[in-house]
Amino acid sequence: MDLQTITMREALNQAMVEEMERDPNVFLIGEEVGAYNGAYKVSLGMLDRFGPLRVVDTPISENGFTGLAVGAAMTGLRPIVEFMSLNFSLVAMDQVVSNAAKTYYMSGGQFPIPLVMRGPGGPAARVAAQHSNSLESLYAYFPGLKVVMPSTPADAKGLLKSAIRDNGPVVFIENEMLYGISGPVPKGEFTLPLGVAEVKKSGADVTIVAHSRMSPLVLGALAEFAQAGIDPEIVDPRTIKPLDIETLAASVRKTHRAVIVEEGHRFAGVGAEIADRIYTACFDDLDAPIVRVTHSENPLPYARNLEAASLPNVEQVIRACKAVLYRG
Amino acid sequence: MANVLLMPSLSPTMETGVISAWRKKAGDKVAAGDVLAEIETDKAAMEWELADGGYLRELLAPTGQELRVGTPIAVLTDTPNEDYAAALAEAKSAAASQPAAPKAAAAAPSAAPPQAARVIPISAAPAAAKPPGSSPGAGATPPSTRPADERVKISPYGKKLAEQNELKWQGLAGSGPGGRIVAQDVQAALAGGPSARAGQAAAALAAAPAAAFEDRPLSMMRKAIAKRLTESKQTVPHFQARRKVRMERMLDAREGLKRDFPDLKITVNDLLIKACAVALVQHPAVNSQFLGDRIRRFQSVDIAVAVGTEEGLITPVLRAAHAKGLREISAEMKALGERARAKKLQPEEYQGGTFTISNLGMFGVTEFNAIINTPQACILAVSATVKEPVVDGDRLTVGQTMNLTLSSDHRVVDGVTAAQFLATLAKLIENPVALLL
Repeated sequence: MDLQTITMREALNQAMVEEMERDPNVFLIGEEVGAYNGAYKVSLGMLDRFGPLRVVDTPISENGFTGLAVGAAMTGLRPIVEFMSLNFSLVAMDQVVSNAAKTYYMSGGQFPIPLVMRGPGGPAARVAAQHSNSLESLYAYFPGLKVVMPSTPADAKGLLKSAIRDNGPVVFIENEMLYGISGPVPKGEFTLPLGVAEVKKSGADVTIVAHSRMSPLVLGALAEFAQAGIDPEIVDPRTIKPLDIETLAASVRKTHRAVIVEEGHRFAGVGAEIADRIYTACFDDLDAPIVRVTHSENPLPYARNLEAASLPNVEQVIRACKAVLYRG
Repeated sequence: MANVLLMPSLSPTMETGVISAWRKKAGDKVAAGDVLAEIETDKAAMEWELADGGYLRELLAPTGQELRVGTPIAVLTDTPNEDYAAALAEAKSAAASQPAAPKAAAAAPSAAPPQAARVIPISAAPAAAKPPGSSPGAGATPPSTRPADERVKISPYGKKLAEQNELKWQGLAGSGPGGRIVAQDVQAALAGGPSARAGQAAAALAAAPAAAFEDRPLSMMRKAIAKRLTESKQTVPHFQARRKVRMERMLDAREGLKRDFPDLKITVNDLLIKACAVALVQHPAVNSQFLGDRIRRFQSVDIAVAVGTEEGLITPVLRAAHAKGLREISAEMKALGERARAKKLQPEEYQGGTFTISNLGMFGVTEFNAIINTPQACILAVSATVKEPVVDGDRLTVGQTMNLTLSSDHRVVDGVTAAQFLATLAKLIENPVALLL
């Protein structure tokens, strides 16, 4: 397979461009997506390529343009809504939850909503409490929404293409800190199925479930794990909902213990759902209770040191692994 | 500063101790090196010397009571009147939340004698020495024999591992929180000392110039035999008592039955089983089990009879042998033996049993020592009947003799008991008509 090494930003751009070329109903709408080439340059060059009817700049009006997109989807178009920060989707939450998620169901199937709502979510670098929410558990909560979170450029491209082709609403949560990372991506046409996890690193001692930024965090610390005498198997769900419990469970049946790492909060976080599913699927194969490593119980501070102290780090993950291995 | 003294661990296997006497009293000023108390352990009575001096404020335990290692037993303070309530409360709650004794011993504080610091191995070997009353044999423990005490915690995977390998996990020491038995404890118990050494020996052999060989993977039965018999030999204090019996009358009896009741096919083995059953009724001490803190005497005589199969040894159990006649015993033995050889025995047919008979006579063995089928107290080794010179009165003549060897668990059965049982058994074998009594 021919590979290109590109950044996640470029991978997302390619996905949108390819899908817009392929299907004239796909269009992009959001703040700064056009003339500014995207607040994070993800939509670089797209206005020039597709024109203002398909790359639509909006005022600061998330509720408005998300509602517009839902309406467009009801009439047969396939909008991609970009939230400059996924945190801003909270302003449009009613549109996301009441309209995008439920219209297909409440209309008795008359109005499928093939809508992608994408943007960078989770903590970035000192953007403080209101701009650092991890909203995946919030959106995964509602029936009718899919939630996808890529951690590599290849996953980003393959999954975004599939999300655009999906006939239902998909919340596609990227991470600002990952836009710049590079990775191999297949050249040419390729998609990845939604709802399929991937074992990012095979191992024997403990299953670490990590998504979005937590996946490269853990993958980047293999030397520290080796020094601690731990051989982790690292699994990235890639799609939060629908969750690929089969892949996770197969891993836990092998290692007999699980550590779940998430940037979001503990209470009702995604890790709680994942833990519940693992306990149900793997009860007889667990040697220890599942340990979760999460954001601490406080709004994220602006100060650099406090921010770092609030978020999961490698040392905490290693300690969690040792706990489930009953090693000191 | 207050120092709460805990029951020290005075030997590697000590789990509880008894204060047989206090040598100091509350209010005494004490110095390092003073003997505080006499403590009786599983091995001996020892004087416990103080490592530090101070004021002995309170004695927390009475004499004569068995206390776990790590239990708070006295309070020392640096000054005569300082308050020690907080320290005492903390020590008591810490002691209360200690898991299995080995961990408590490892946590013994400064007041313990210098030699108290040691590593207590967290392995199954010592724990397996006190089987919690579960019955032998492959498979699940029948609930009726499990003690009603404390709930043993084990992780789901640990339990699965143990059950897959037919390991009795209830007696293992758990290294997890709250004494939870976890996978590594089960694995350590399965690996164990002897087989680790055997592994090294095997490796050494492999390094030597190779002789041709064939490796056979262990069948479940072989694994079970290996584990159970090793455990028996390692943990049970075996002793053997031997008796040679005259078989003439029993052989005659059998000949008679063969001639006049040929369909029944009564064997000498059947007769021996019946004789053992009758003898066991008269010697209930032999029909017993050691359960750690008590001896269980069974009211039924369930005789396990060793049967050799292709794969190995299995002992189907003839239940209530004391209540069965020879005919019934014989029929049942035939059925059990057939099922054993066809590998069709159900767990309830080979589990349990209060006494075992192992017979190698048909192979010509004249004497052997059998290994006790724990947790039973005894096993009878029956050998070949041979013609040999015997003395009748003062005359030398030819007789038919057979050696019986009874292996007994000395924790349950003493020499005299074994001897008396064999005497009764011999009388029954040498006077088979007495079986009618």
